Amino acid sequence: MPIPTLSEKLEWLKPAPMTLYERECAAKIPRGDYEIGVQTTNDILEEAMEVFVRSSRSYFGVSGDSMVAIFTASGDLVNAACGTYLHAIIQPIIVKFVLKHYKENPGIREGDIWYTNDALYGGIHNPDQVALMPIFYRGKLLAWASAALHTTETGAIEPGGMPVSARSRFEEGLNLPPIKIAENYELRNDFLEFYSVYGLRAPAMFISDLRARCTTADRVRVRLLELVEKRGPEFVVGLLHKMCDTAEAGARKKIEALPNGKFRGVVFNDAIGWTPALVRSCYLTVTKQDGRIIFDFQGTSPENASSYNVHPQAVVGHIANFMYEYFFHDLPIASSTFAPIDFVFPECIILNPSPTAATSCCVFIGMQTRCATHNSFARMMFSSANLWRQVAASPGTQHTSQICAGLSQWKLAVADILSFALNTQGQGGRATGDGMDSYGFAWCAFGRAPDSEQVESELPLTITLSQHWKDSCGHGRHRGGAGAVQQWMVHKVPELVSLCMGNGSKVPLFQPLFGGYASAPIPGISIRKSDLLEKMQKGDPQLALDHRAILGKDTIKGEWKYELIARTPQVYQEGDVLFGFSGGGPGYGDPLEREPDAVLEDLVKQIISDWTAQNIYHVVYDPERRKLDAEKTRQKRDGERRARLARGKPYAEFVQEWSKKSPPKDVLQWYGTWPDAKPTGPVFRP
Amino acid sequence: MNSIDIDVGGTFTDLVLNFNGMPMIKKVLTTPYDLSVCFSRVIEEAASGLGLKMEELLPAIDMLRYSTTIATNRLIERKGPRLGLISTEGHEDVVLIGRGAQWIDGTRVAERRNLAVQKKPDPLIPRDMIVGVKERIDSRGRVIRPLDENDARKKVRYLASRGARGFVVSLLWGFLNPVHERRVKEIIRDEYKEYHIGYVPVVLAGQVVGKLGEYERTLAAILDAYLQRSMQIELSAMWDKLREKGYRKPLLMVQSSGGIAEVFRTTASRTYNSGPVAGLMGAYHVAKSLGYHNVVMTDMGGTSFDVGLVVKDSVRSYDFRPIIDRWMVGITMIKTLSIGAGGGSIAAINRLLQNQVQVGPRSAGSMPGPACFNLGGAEPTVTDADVVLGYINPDYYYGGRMRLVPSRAVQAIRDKIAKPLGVSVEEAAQLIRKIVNGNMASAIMKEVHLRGYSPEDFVLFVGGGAGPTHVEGFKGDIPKAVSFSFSPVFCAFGSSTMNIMHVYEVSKKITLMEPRTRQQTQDYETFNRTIEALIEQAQRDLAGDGLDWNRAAFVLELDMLYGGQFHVKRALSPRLFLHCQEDVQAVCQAFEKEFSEAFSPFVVNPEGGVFVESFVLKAIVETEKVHLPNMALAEPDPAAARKGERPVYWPEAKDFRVTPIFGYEGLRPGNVVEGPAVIEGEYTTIVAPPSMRFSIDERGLGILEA
Repeated sequence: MPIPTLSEKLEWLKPAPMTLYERECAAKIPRGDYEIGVQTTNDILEEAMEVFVRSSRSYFGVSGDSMVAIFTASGDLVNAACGTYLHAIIQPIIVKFVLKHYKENPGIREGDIWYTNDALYGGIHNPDQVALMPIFYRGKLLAWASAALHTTETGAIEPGGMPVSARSRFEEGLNLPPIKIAENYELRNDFLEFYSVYGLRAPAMFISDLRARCTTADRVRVRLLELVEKRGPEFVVGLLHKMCDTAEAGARKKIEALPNGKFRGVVFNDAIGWTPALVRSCYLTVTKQDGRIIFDFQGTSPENASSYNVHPQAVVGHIANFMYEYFFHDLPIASSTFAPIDFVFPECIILNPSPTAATSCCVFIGMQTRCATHNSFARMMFSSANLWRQVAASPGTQHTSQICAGLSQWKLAVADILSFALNTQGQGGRATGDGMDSYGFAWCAFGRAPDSEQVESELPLTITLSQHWKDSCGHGRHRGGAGAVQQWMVHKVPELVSLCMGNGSKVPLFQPLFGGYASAPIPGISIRKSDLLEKMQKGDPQLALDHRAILGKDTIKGEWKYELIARTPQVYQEGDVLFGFSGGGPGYGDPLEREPDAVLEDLVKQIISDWTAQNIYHVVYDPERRKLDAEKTRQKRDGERRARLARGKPYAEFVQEWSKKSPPKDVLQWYGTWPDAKPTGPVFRP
Repeated sequence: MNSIDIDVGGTFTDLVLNFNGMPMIKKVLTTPYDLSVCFSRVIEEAASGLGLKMEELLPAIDMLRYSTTIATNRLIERKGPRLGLISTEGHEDVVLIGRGAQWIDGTRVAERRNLAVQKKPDPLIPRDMIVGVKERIDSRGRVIRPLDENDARKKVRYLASRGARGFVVSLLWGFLNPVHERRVKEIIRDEYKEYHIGYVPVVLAGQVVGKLGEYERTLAAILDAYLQRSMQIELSAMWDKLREKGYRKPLLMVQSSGGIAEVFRTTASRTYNSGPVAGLMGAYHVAKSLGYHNVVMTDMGGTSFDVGLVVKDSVRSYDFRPIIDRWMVGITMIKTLSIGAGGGSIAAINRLLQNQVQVGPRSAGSMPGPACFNLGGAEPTVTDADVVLGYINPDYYYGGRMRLVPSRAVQAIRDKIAKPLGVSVEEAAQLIRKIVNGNMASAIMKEVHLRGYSPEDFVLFVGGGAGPTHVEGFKGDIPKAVSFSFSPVFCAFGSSTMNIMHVYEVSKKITLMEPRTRQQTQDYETFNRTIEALIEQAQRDLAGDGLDWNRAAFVLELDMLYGGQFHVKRALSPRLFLHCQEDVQAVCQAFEKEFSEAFSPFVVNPEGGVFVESFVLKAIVETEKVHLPNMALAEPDPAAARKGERPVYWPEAKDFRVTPIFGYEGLRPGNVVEGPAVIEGEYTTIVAPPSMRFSIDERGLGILEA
C-alpha cells in the first residue's frame, strides 16, 4: 500500500468538492436551525472532551492537550474541541487515506475504529495517536469522529515517546499506519495483546489512553446519530457542509484583508539530537497574492539522521497553532479555513524528510516554523488598521522536557514528563503590550501546569523552588512574558532514571520583533551528590532557595554539571538535583522605548534584574527606593541612541563583513552548504 | 416554623416568606452599591404584604436564610485590604504563575481564543507583598527543613512595614502538617497582639482548605482574607438591623456545599454561587416529595441560564476546582452549569461567518438593560424579542411596576438584525428566541448526557423570571416541565429546604488496594483515625452552633482514584469506618461503580491500585421543611382566570394570532389552559404554544407538556 505522497497530503488538506446532494442539503438548512446546529456540535464535542480528559491516564490527556473532532463523510474536519490546534488541519489526511485505500479491503464499516500514530500517514509524531470512527446511518457513511492525544510512551529506544537518539523511524518504537482495531463496536483482543507485548514500557497507560480515545470518538458518534434521528440525515449532512463552507468563506475574507506581498521569516536551530549543530530550521517565504497565501520553505536545511525532522503536514499543524490563536481566532476550527493556503516543500529538507527519517522530536523543529510564521505575519499585518493588534512575537517555547522513569514512592512504575516547564512558557511581546508571564504551553495554550504538591504526591521528587525565571524574557518596548524555573530534588526513593529532550541551549531559537530582544537560551543543569537536603535538614540559615542566588553564588555544593538541554537517560540518586526551565517570550520593539515606570514595575515583580533595568532599558533610578529619575533616564537613553549610531555602519559594509563570517565547521554537519543550506549528500540511516 | 429566605441575584433580590403555614414571594431590584438596602427592602415588602411593619414581622420569624453575591461584588470592585502572603521560600510566585494558563480562568471558550488580547488578572496580592520563609514539609508530612523563626519574624515585619492589613500563611503541605503555619501565626500574634492597633487577621490556608494543591488552597485563603472584612461589615450591618427590628434567631448563610451555616461560622469563598446551589437543593427537596428521581433544574434570569441536575435522588456532582471571578479555588462546590443566556442576552450578527446570528453571552444586564427598558440600551436582547412577539406584556412587566417601551425593542431588532438579514422584525425576533432556546436546550442535553442519561429520563423544573417564558423552547426532549408559584424566586425557595451542614475535607493518601497484586489494605486504623478526627471537629462546631450533635447524621464521601490517574472521583462511601476486608471491598466497589458510570467502564483500572486521596465528612442536622400543599381540584375550564387577548406570534403559523391571555394568580388547581395561550404572573410570563397545554395540579404545580 503506498505511503501518501506529498502532493496527496497537500491535496487532502483541501476540502473535498461538495456533491450535488451535499450542496442541496446545505442549502436547505434554515437560518436559526443552522446556528443551533453549530452550537449542538460544540456541545457534543465539549461533552466528549470532558469524557476524554477524565478517562485519560497520561499527563497530556489529563491536562486536555488533545483534540476531539467531527468530519464530513469525505474526511474534512468540520468542528473540534481543542486542547491543541496541532491536529485540526491535518487529520483529514488520515481519513482520506483510509477512504482511498481501505474501502474494499478490509472495508470501512459501521462499528469500526481506526487507529494510527504514524506521521508518514498524516500525524505529527508517533506519541500522538488518534482513534477514528466512521459514522454510519442506515448503512450510509455520514461523517467521522476522532479523538487525538499524546501518550508519553511508544516503546522506542528511550522511554518517554520522543527518543532523542533515534536515527531512523525504526528506532522510534511503534509506528502504526491507519489500522482497524475494532469491529462491530468491539476492540479486537488480538490488537490489544499486540500492544501489551510490543515492548511498551507502560503498557497499562498506553492501553488506557487507547481506550479513552476510542470511548471519546464513540461518544461523538452516538451524539451525532441522536441528532440524525431527531433532524434527519439530510439536516446533519447539510449542517456539516454548511459549517465547512462558512468557515472557508470567513478565512477567505480575512486573507483578503491582508496586504499583498512577500514576507520572510528565518529561524535557526542549535542542536540535532544530543549534539550541538546549527541548522536553518525554517527559511520561510510567505506570499500573499490574489486572496491566497503560499508558504514556501525553499532554503531550509536538509534532513538529518536524527529524530529532529518534521513531516510536512506536521509543519502545517504547527502553523495552525499560530493561525488559530492570532489570525483565525474568530473562525470555527475547520480544515476548510486552510483552503486558500498552499504550501511548497522542497524534497529532503528537514521539513520534508525521506520516509525512513525519524521524526519523534519533530515538535522542537516544528515550533520554529511557527516562529517564522509569527514573524512573517507580523510584517504583513503591522501596517493594517484592522490587524495590527494581532501582531505578536512567537512564544518562548524552549523548555526542559524532563522525563522521569522508575518506581515511585507508591511502588508504581512511572514514566512521564515533568510538565511544569512545558506549561509555564512566556508569551511573545505583542503590538498592544507585553507578553503574558508564564502564559502556558505553545502547543496547547490552554494546558495547565500541575501544582508542586500534585507532582510530589505522585512522583519521587521534592520541588525545592518554583519561580518566575528572572531575565528570561526577551526585552523590548513590550517585553516577552517571563518563563519559569523549578528545582527538582530526587527524594523518597533511592534512585530515578531521567532524560531530557529539547533544544535552545546555545542559540535563542525564537525571534523577537521590530527591534526587540530574543529571550534567554535554556541551560541543562544538574547537581549530583548535592548537599541541598542536608542543608535543609540542618536548617542552614545561609541557604536561600532563590534560583538567582543558587545559580549565581553556588550556595549548593555537589557535582555541578552544565550541558545541553537534551540529555541521555541517566540514573540519579536521592538528593541529586535537576533544574527545569521554561523559556521567556521574545520581545517586541526597542527596549529604549519602554515606559520607564513599566521597567520599575518589572523590578518589583522580580521579572528583571537591576542590571537589565540599567543596561538594557537604560533607566536611572534610586535602587533602594526604586524611584525613577525621569530626566536622567531620558539623557541616558539619548546617549545610548547616539552610541548605537556610532557603532553602526552602512548596510553594504555590514553585509560585506558579515558574509565573510561562518560558524565553526563542526556545528555545520547538518546545516547543508554554507550559507545557503543546500543538501551536501544523501543521509544514511540505520 | 416561620422563616424568611432571601436570594440576591444580579438583577433582582428574591424573598420567600413562610408565615403561619402560608407562603409568600416578593421581588425587589437589587441595589449593588449596598446590598443591605435591597435586603431590608424586600423584607419590608413582605411585611407590608401581610399588613405588618418589619418590626412586627421579624420577632415572629424563627429562621432567616440568606444567599448572597456580596463576595463576588466586592471581589469585582477590588476594594479589599492590602494583604501580605507568607509562602514557603522558593515558592513565592505560585499565585502569580497561576499554574500557567491562569488567564483562561473565569472566561468562556470563545472569549479565550484570541491570544493577542488575553491578560492574566491583576493579582490580589502583588509580588512585593509576598515573602517566602525558610521551612519545608514534604509530601509525607515530615519536616525536612525546620522553620527559621528569625527569618519568619524578619519577613513578617517587612510585610507589616509595607502596610499589610492582613496575613495569609500558605506553606507547602501545611494542610498535612500544620506545625509551621501555626508557628508563623504565633509569631505574627507575638509581634502584633490583639490589643495593638496593628492587630491584623491571619488566615492559615491549611485551615481554609485541607486539600492538596497549593495554588487553589492559597487562592481560597487569599479570597477569604480579602473579603472577610467587607463581608463582616456588610453582614454585621444587616445583622444589627435585623436585631434592631426584633429578630432574635440566627442568620444563616447558604453555602455552595449545599448546606447552611451560621453567619459567623461562614467563610467568604463558600458563599459563592450559593444562589444556584440553593435552587438545586430546592429542586432536590421538591423532587423527593413528588417522587421524581431525575430532575433538571433550570434558572433563567437576566444574564445567565443555570442548570443543575438531581440524578437518582442525589445532587452529588461536584466542581473540585471552581472559579470565583478569575480565581481557581480548592473548595469543593456542588456543580451547576451556567451559560450566557438570559433575558438580557444580546443578539448580534457575525458578518465574518456569513451573517450567522449569535445570542449571548454578552448581556445588557439591568443597566442599561434591554432596549425596551428605555434606559439607554440600544442592543437587541431576548426580552426585546419577547416583547416584539407579544409574549411579554409591556404594561405588566414586573407586575406593571416597570413600563416597557415596545418601539425601542422594534427599533433595536430592526436596525441590528432584521435589516442586515433582509427579514421582517418579527422574523428576526423569532430567530433570536429560537437561537437562545436552542442553545439552552443543547446545554441541558450536554449536562444530562455527561451523567450518562437521556433527556427522556428527566422532569424539568423551571426557575427564574425568564424561565417560564422560554421553557417551551428549551425543554427539548424532556416530556414534562414543571413550574411553581415560586418559580421566579426558586433559589430563595431552595434555601428554605436546606439542612444545616458542616463539611470537613482533608487530603490524606491511603492505599485501599495495592497496584498489580490487588491486595486490600489491612491498616484500618489510619482510615478510622482520620474519620474520628473529623467527627470530633464536627461535634465541636455543632456544639458551638448551639446544636445537639447527637441529632447530626454523618455522611462520608471519598475522593478516590486508580493508580496513575490524576483526576479524582468523589464516591459515596458505604462505610463510615473500616473494620474488615468486606468493608474495604465495599468501598472499592462503590468507587468502581460511580467511576464507571461517570466516565466509561473502559477506563476502570483496578490493576493500577485503588487510592483514597481525600476524606470528606458531612455533618448534617435536618431542618424543618416547607411542604407542598394538597388541594382540591377545580374544573379544567380556566375561564375565570382569563384576562383578555392580544396578538402573539406563533412560529407554527409564521404569523401573529389573537391569543387568550390568562392571569397566573387566577388559575386554580385542576385548570387546564390549552395552547396557544399566554399566562401572565406578577413576576413572570408562561408561554404555552399551540402544541402544548398548561395545567395546575393538586400541589399547585404548573405542568407544561405536549
